[in-house]
Amino acid sequence: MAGAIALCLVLLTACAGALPAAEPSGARALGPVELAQPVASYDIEAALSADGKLVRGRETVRYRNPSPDTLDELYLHLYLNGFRSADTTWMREAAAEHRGLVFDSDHTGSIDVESIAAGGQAADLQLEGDGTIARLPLPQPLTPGSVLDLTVTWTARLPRVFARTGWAPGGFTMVAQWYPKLAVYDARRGGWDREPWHANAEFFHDFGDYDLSVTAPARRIVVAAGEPSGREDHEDGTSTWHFSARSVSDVAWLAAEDYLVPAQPYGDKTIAVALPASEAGLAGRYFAIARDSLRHFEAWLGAYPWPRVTIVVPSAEAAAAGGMEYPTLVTSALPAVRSIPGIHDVEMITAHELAHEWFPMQLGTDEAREPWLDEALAEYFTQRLLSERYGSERALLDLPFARLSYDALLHAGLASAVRLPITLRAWDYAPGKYSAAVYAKGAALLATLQRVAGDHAFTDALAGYVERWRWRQLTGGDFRAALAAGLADAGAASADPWLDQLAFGERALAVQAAQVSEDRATILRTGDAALPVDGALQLASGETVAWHLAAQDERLELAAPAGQRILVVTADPESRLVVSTNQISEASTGAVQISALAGLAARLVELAALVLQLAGQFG
Amino acid sequence: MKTPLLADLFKARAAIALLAVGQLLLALFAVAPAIAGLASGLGQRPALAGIAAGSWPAVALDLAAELAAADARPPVPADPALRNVGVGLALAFLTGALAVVGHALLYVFVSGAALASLADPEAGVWRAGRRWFFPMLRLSLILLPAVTLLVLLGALALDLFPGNAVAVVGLWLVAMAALDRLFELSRARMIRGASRSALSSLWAAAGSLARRPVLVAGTWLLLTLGNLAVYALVMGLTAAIPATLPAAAWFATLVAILLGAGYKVFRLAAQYHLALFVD
Repeated sequence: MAGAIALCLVLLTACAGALPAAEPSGARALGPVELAQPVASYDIEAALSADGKLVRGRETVRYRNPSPDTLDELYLHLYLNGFRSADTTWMREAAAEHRGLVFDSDHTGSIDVESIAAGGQAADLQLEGDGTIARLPLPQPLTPGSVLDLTVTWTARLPRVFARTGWAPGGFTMVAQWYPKLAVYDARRGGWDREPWHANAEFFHDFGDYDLSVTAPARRIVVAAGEPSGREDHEDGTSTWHFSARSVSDVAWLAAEDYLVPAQPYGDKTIAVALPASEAGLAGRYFAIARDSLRHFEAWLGAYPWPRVTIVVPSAEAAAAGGMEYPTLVTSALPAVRSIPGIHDVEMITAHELAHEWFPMQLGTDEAREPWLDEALAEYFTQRLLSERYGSERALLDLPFARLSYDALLHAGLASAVRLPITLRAWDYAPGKYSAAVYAKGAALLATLQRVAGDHAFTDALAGYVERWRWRQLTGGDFRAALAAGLADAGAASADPWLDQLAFGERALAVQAAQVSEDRATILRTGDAALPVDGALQLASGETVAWHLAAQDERLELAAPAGQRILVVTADPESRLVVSTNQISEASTGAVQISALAGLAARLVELAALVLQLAGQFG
Repeated sequence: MKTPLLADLFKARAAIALLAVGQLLLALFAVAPAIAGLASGLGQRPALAGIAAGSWPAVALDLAAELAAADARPPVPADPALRNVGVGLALAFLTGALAVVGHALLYVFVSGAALASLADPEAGVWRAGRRWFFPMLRLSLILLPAVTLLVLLGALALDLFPGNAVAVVGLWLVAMAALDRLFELSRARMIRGASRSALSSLWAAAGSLARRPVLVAGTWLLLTLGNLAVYALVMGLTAAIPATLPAAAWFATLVAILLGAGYKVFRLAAQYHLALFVD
C-alpha cells in the first residue's frame, strides 16, 4: 500500500514538469570582483594515515600585519581540540550533541603542535583555556604592514565524524577545522580575537591564499576547497593531490573511497559534486540547485569570485559531515526520501550552504559574536531562492496533497524566539534557541524588510553592502549603516525601527482583526512592536478598501461604507510581514466558509477511510 | 471455478454496502472533532481554504507558532478561537483510535457475512455475519500478534541495515501482504470447511500454500497487484479533483470508499474460489 502511495506521488509530481528558468527578482548587472589583498596565506602539506583517522601536517603561514598597531604576539586557533573531550567550551555549549547526533567520547579529536617557528626562530606556543586558542609571543615585534613567516608542524587526530569533521566507516574522512590557523587581529575591536571555539561559531578569519598538498591512500579520492592542480601517484600506494585557492579564509577537504566527482561548466566556472558512487544517479539534483543558486545569488549579490565550487555529499554513514560551508566547498546531504521529488530538502541545504559563499566567505564577519550576520542572511537568501524557484507556497514541499512554504518554516522557528534578539553572541543563546532566533527570526525579519522596502531597493542595498565590505572585517553596525545608506538612496523606508525593535530589541509584531461584524471591525495591535501594518476590508459588493494601522496606534476602528457589508477583514493581505507572530489571526471574516469546510471535510473523511482500510487490512 | 467472481460480488452486494456505509460512518466519526475544531477556529478565515488546497502543513505550522508565541514572556496573545483547532485535533486522535477498533469489528462481521453468502446464497447478511463473527474474531486475535511481530521485525531490520532501507521496506511490504493474503485464505477455508476453529483454518490455509505454492502465491500476487492498482486509482482520482470543489471532492470520497470496500470483498471471493480449487 505504501508502495502504491509512493508510486502515485512520484507520477503526480513528475507531471508537474520542469522548472522554468525565471529571472531572479531584483536582479542586478554583474560586475567584476577584485580578489583580496592577502593577510594570512597558507602553504600546507598534509598526509592522511592509511585508516583515515590521523593527519600529519606542515604549514608555512605568511602573515601581513594589516593593523595600525605593532604586534608582539600572535594567536592561533587549534579548533580540533574542541573535540578532545566532552568538557571543552564547544561541548559544554552544545551538550555534546550536534543536530541530534551524539559525540562519541571513545573516538575523540585533537590537534598537537609539534614545532613552531616565527621568522625562522623557534617559538613557544602557549595553550589557553580548553586548548582551542593558543598564544605565540613573537621574538621580534611585527610592525604595521610588515610580513612574518610561521612554520608549524602538527598532528591532527580526527574524531569519529561529528559536527562536520572526522572519519566514518566505509573509507570516508572529512577533514575540517584541522590545522593551526591564525586568529584575527582587529584594531576596531580592541585587539586579538582570543575566544575559545564556541558551538555554532566557526568562522572569523583573515583572507589569504592557500596552497594545499594532501597525500592519502591511492584508493581514496581527495577533494578540497579551491582548484585541483595535479596529482602524483607514489610507489608506496599513496597519491598526492594539489589544490590552490585565492582570497579564502579556510580550507577543508574530503578523502573518500568509492566516490565520484562529476563536474559541469557554469559559465567560465566549474561546479563539481563529490558523492558516493552508489548515489551517482542523484548528481543531477545537486548540479541543478547549484546552478540556480549561483545564478540567483550572483544576480542579487555580485559575482561568485572563485573559478570552482565543490559540493560534497556525505555518505549515509557520514551524515554528521553534512550541511556545512567552507570557502569554495560546501557539504550537503543525501535526500531523506529519494523516491519523492517534491521534497526539497537537498535543495534547501545546498542553497543555504552556497549562500554562505557570500556570507561570510566574502565578508569578514565574526560568527561567534555576531552569528546573525552570516546565518540570517544565508537563510534569508535560501528562502528567497526556493520561493522563486518553486513558488512561495511550494518552496519546501510540493506534493499532490501537501505543500509547504518557506515562510511557514520561518514562522514556526521564530515562535520559540519571539522575545529573543537575533543579535546576541552565539554562546548567549539557550540550547535550542540559537537557530530559532538567528536563522528563523533573522531570515523572517530580512524577508519582511525586502517586502516592505521592495525587491529592487532591498537587493541593491544588500549588494551595496557586499561590495562595500568584501574581503574586510566588519560588525553589525557596518551592516546597518550600509543597509540604511542603500535604502535611503533608493528612497525606501528606513529599516531602523524594524531592526531596533525586532533584531536588537525584544519586541514582537502581532496584529489581530477582532470584533468583526457586517458594518464594523476593530484592528488590535496584540504585539508590542510599534510598526506600521497595512490591511484591507473586502466588501460584499466585491470592492476592497485599504486600511493602515500607524506605528504609534494600538487599535483601529473600521466602518463599512454606507450601504455596504463587510465580508473579510485582512491584515497584511500580501503576506509581507513574515516576522509577525500571528499569521492566522491576521485575517478574519464575518461568515463561515461553508464551501471550503465541505471540501476539507471530504478530504478528511477520505483520508480517514483510507487509514481505516489500511489498518483494517489485517482485521 | 463454479461461478464467475463478478456474480459473487452481486451475491455479496449487501456485505459490500454494509462495509462501505460502515466505513463512511466510522470515518465521519473519526474526523468529526477535527472538523468541528477547524470550523470553530478557522471557519471564518481564508486559511481554511488554504488547508483544503493542500497548504495544511503551512497552516499547521502557523497555528502551532501562534499558540507557542502565546507562551512567550511577555506573551503575544493568540486568538482564543484557535485553541479550538488544537482541541479538535487532539480529540480526533481518540475518535480515530475508536474508529480503527470499530472498523476491525466491522470487517470481522462483513468477512463472515460475505463468505457465507458465497457458500450459501440464501444465507442472510445479518444471520451469517452473526454466526461467523466470533470464529472470525478469533482469527483476527491470532493475526494481531503476528502483525505486531512483523512490525517489530521490520523496525529491527531497518536498524540493523540502515544502508538498505529501500530493500528492507520492500521486503517488509511483501511480508505484510503475504500475511494479509494468508489470513484471507484462512477466513475462506473456515467457511469452506464449515469449521469454527481459527487455528485449524489457518493451518489449512498454510497447507494449501504448501500443496500448490505456485497457484496460491500467484493468486496472492495478482490480488496484491490489484490492491495496489485500486489505491493508485483512488489517489489519482483524489489528486485530480481539488478539494476546493466540494461536491466533486465528496463524489471522489464516496467512490474511493466504495472501491475499497468492493475490492476487499472481491479478494475474499477470490480466496474462497481458490480454496475450492485447491481442494
